[in-house]
Amino acid sequence: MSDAVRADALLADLPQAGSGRLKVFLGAAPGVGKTYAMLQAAQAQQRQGVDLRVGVVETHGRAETEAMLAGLPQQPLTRLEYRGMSLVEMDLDGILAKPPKLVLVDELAHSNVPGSRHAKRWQDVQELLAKGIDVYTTVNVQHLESLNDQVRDITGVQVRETLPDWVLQEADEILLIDLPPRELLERLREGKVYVPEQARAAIDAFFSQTNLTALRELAMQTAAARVDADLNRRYRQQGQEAPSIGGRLLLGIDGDAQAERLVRHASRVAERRHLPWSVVHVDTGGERNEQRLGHLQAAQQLAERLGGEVVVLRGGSVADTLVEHARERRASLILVGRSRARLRRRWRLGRGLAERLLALGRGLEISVLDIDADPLPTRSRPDDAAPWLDYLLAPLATATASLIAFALSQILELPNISLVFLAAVLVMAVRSSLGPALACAGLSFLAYNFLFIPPTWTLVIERQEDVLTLLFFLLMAALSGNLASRQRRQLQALRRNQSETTALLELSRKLTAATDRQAVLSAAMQQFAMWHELEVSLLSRDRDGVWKVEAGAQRLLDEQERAAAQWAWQHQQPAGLGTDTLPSGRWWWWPLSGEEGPLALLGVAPKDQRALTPEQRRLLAALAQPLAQALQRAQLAEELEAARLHGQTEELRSALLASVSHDLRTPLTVMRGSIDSLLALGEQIPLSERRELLEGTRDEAERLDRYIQNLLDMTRLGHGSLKLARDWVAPADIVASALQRLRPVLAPLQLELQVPQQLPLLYVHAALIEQALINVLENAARFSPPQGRLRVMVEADAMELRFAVADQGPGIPAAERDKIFDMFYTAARGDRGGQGTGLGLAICQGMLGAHGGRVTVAEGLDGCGASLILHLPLHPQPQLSLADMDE
Amino acid sequence: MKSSNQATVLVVDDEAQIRKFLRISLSAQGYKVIEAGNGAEGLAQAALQRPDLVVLDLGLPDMDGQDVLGQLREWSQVPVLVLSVRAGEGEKVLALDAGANDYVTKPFAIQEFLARVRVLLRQAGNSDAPLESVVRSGSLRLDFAYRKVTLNDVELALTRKEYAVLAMLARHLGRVVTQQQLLRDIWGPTHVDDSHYLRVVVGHLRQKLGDEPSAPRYIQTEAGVGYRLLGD
Repeated sequence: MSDAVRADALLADLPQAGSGRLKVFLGAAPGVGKTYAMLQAAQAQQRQGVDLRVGVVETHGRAETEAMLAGLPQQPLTRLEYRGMSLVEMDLDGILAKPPKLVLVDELAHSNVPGSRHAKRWQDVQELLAKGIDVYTTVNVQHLESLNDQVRDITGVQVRETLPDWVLQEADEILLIDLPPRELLERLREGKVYVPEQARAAIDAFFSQTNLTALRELAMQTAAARVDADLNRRYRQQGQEAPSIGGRLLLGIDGDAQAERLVRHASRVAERRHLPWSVVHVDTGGERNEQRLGHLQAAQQLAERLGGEVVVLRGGSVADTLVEHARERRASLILVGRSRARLRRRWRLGRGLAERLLALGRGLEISVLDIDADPLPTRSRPDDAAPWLDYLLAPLATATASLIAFALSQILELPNISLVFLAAVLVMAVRSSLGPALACAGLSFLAYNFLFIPPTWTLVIERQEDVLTLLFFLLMAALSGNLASRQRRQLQALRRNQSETTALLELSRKLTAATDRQAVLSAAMQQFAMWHELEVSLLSRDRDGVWKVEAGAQRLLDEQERAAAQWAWQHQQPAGLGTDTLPSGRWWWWPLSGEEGPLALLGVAPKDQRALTPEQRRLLAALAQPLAQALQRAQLAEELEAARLHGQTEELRSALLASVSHDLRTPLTVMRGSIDSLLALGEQIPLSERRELLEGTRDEAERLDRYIQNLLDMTRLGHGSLKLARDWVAPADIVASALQRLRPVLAPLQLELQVPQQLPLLYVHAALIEQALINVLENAARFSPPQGRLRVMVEADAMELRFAVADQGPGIPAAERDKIFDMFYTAARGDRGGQGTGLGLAICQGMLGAHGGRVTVAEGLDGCGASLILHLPLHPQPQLSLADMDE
Repeated sequence: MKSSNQATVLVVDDEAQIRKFLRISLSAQGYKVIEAGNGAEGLAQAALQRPDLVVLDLGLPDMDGQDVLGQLREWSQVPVLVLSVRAGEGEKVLALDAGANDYVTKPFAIQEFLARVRVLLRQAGNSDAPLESVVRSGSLRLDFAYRKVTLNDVELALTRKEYAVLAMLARHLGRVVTQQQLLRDIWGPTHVDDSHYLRVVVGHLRQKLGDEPSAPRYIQTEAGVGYRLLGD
């Protein structure tokens, strides 16, 4: 046994995170004392200080039970109006509002009053468990869905309130409350068992010694099966091989009225034999009608509820496909139903299937259930005949063929005239189905005989060869009609199949191209738009519980629809129209869930107020899968991007802080030091040095001002809120203004200006370019040796204008030339950079970039230092008329 | 006519520290200083004390500096020197259009500030006298009566537009003239946005004046605002 299997078994034993424990008090029949036992257990819990509440308990006025209820805190029931009646139900919201540790919920199989949140009480219990609340509950064995038929067979009573078996299977503990039938009957006679007056007759029949014994056995079996399963798990936890359980059970069904019965049977067999099971439907492209599809759909849904897997295969032969699938899935047992009525209809799953399976499925166990032994009145067989209109077409086709044949009878020889009728039969077969085609064949046979076989105008045939001709005609008509109609059915199935596949392919193609959430959603909406009869909407809910229609119908949802959507979102299960939860709405909600919860909610509403067809439902479900995946992918991409951005922002922030601390503190330190010296020492400092200190203070203040300007500019650049106020500017003005502002900084250097008299005008935001130039000049000045040369040169060609600032400083290593404009780089150097370059160059780059220009680095003066060049594109110079300049 | 050193200056600024160093500097120059900490008080002081110059900060706590300027201009022609922050070119132009006479950008050098104050007080003092017919700045001499411009006693051949621009700057010697004002007065109201006319004409003027464009002696560009003809 692999460790993984063992780990799974151990994990299964742990209470799932956030889920409560379910304890079921199982009984064979009403009156065995389940409720009493549950209350007794609850009393014991309360004595141990467990915070518990009675959600709902039916005492049926029994004194012993009521006594046991005393002292337990109760949640008041909620009152619901239904068709003028006032009915009470468990107050689920009341319990959830102030959740206790343990809740008692009697009668697990109970159906809620329509209008409640869930159709069934077990769904309420599931919600309680999901919220981490433990639940004690009671149930009678006849309510188990898989036993439904058996119970009916035993007792003759059809139990309407059923409970999916998995609910019981997932219970953490099952307690069998047993009472020998004799004692139960005793209690019944003593009036200790509650029996509603109107049902007394039925109940009396129910409570017979034989029935009770059988039910008791069922209950014991159920509990025992559970013990088996528990035992298996223990084996696995201990790393031992569980008693061999291999293979899988395959149940083959078609759209038969008995399909559900077969599913229940299969579920029971699978449970008893500890086999995983699948319900397989083989679509041979046969005729479909609503009723058959309905049966199929119901059976498939039942199978899902009972924990089976639903598989739909397409293939020509049911037996071949089933056996092939069985081999693929390593199934050990194939179960099929067999109906005697089928013997008449051999072209469907029917006679010969079991035999064919036996012949093909070597090594497989083939089990056939006779499903005619049906005590219920057989429902009317699905009418698989063609619409009556098609039968009307048969004589019409024959008449048309007769007319044509009559017209051609002058040209064609007698045997060839039959071809005309044959054509009519073929047309019928292709246009309609086999029935009308055969009808047409018969009619054509008669018409041919009547009109053309001598003696004409009678049905009498004189010549023997004509009899043969006619017989062959009939045979050919039947054969070709059959062939054509089958061909057509297959074509239809193919088309259906193809349209589904196409839809899926189409959607995945669109989704592949969609990279973000919005694109995914709009691709999906585009795809869903092909259903004109449906309204589609995609919703999402934010953390505050506010709904947002992301795509599709922008209508306001009423309270009820919103509740269904809410439920579907929270529980990640479908809700609304056609489901068990809040089914009275107009919308069907299908959650598109990712690994960490719902990503969006797909809402579908038929425009004509009818229910969704199973076909639509299936295709929608199929499309929802890739859609959810695409949404998950988009979300992941967004999260990654956000994380990356966040990382960058963090990096920049810390870099900035480092830079600010350096660039702002340095001038402040100088200013503070100078002023303190002056205040403290005053007259002791010679006059010329006092002046020096004061000038230093002023220069540092100006430097501080420039840093602040840079920080402001950087913020504007970073926010993208930098608005260019472009105007025509003379480049010399920019140089003049920058030099003016930097006068004290540049004073100790030998400044060389090379600014030609004639320069084209720039169309720029002058203050920003000036700031860029100031940053470059200041940078150069900072790295220049004392009395070093600093050359400022402006030159222009047809395309661009360049400001070049060259110094005699240490220069910039080639490897770093690209990096010095990087905000991270320059900022991150901060204190470490000694005379850190600050943000100046990065901002310079930003300013130039905003104008469509750039900054480059070149060699400085006399082979040392660096030269920074600001490139600005030139705009077509404005037109100047002489008149405007000189009148 | 008061002598400039007895002039009264009203300083309207909400920052006590700024008022303090302005008061010290202005007093050292012999001016009488009145202070106001907000716009309303500033307007009241202007009405009560009738100062010769108002120094107005545009960023005031109680009302917008532009509004203070507007209200002041409803009844007074007192020269106003505006204190503005950098990158607020639009704000400066707005204030100049609304009747401010000049501006300095914070943080400013005190020498620059005092020079502006001097220029404004001198011109205000001269407003009663007839317009001077000759303006001098260094070696430049402009004779309005004869429309004659000489540099180092050599007459310059200026086109009409060049003369008009130079003359307008000369009439506001030492003060800024906005680009819009120049364009409107010289080219007409339809050309207020044709700043390139001005750039070209100023370029020619500088050439003829022998002005180094990157370090001008005569015509100074006030980026984004306008031009100023520097005095002595």
